[in-house]
Amino acid sequence: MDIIKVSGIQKSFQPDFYKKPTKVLKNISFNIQKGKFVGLIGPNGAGKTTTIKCLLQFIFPDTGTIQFGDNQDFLEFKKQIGYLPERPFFQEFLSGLEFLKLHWDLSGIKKDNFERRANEVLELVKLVHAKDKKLKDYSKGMLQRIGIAQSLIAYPDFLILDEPMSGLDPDGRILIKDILKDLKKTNITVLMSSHLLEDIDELCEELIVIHEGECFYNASTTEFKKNFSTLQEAYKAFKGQFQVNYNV
Amino acid sequence: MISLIWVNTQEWFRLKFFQIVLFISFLFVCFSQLLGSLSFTEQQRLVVDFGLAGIEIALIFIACFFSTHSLAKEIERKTILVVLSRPIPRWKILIGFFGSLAILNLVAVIVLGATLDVFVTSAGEFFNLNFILALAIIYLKSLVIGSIGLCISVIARPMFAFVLTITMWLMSYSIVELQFFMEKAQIENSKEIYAVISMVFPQFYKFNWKSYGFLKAIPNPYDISWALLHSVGWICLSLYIAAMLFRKKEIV
Repeated sequence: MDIIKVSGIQKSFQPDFYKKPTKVLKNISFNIQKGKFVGLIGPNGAGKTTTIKCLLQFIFPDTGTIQFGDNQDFLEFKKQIGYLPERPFFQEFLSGLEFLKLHWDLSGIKKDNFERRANEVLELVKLVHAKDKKLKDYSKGMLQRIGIAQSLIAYPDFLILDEPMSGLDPDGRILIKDILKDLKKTNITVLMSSHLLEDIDELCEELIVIHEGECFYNASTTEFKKNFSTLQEAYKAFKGQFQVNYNV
Repeated sequence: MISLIWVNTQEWFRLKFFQIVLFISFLFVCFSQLLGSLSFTEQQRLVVDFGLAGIEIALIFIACFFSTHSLAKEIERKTILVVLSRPIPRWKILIGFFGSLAILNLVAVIVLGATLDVFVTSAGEFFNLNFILALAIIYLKSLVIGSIGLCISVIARPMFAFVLTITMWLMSYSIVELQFFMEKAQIENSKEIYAVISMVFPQFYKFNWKSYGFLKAIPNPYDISWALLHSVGWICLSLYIAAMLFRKKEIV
């Protein structure tokens, strides 16, 4: 069963009214099956974050359709979504616990006990000791982890993680990878964009490859790298098809 | 939505800007007392007129700045992204900002109003219900300006929105003067132009009650009801337009 079905979305941006629009997404189509860990890869400026923003309706595609679940209303569908943005900019004057409470309230969950759930997710991201500390005193890795806790607080079925491991030190990466491995044991669906191919290789069974605003691949990771030992080698070979201009 | 209001309010209370505006307004109200004490015959008039004007300027300044910068600030810092990913309609986010503004200005009007009341009482004036009404009307005007600012800020950059909102406030007192000059200059269709201007700007000049004269007069219930309905109408209309514009605003 598909949790999300994207068909032929295109998106242009016009930085100023007198400038020519730039087409960022040319033709993006893919679907994400329920319960899968899906990696979204591509070079800088390929359109990964723009695609995610279209999925979350922060921006609206010029053409194409996005079908949520079983043709659900988007507001209803959002109850299932947990989202971690590319850069963890959160309200820094809040403590970790207050931040989670804000998102718990915004999710409109009434049936459960917040304290219990907050402790569960804080334990998962190893931040119980810092729950009363203000976010401004958190390190980058801690912010990333509280961001993951925030995305998990409302029992999501579908997690969207935009570069969850970028800018982290090796310890932070290992910790977040372990958290994601734990999540994999549950039946959660994850869409994760990343530049770190070894992480995608380790975690994701499905792959979406975007290049210059077009989706070139949407199938299993094993299939993508079948003639290669690692995903990195397979991606290198894939990129060999294109004339890469590093001056851009 | 209440959590959003609470978080925004907390954030703005912590801002130096809010504290400084409140402090300067407090000094302004205190200055009215000083100015009043220099006068022999018009002491109470000076304290009340100067004090109430100071409170209105402070509240309008807070409303303009908060309404035109709060959304832009959230978008710029990208803190709005995680909020938008939650299952709440976008209009509730705007109402969250408006609710915070209402709380901030309520605190400001209570603090400044109480200070002024102490001075008015010390100047030999007794506590007057009209004084509360004058403060309530100032507060209501600040909410009208805040809702207009919020609406403009959805489509314009913060500083431009700020200037436009201040202009709206100034125009809301100057419609009569404008009409007078149009008639004097014998501009063609001045009546039609006046009718359009009256619809585009709120008509604050019709309930400009921040004066000593008003405190002494008995308020007309019809005028009070008109002022209330006019203000609530403007708030609802501005918030509705803001919600419509924000619904399709792209958060890049």
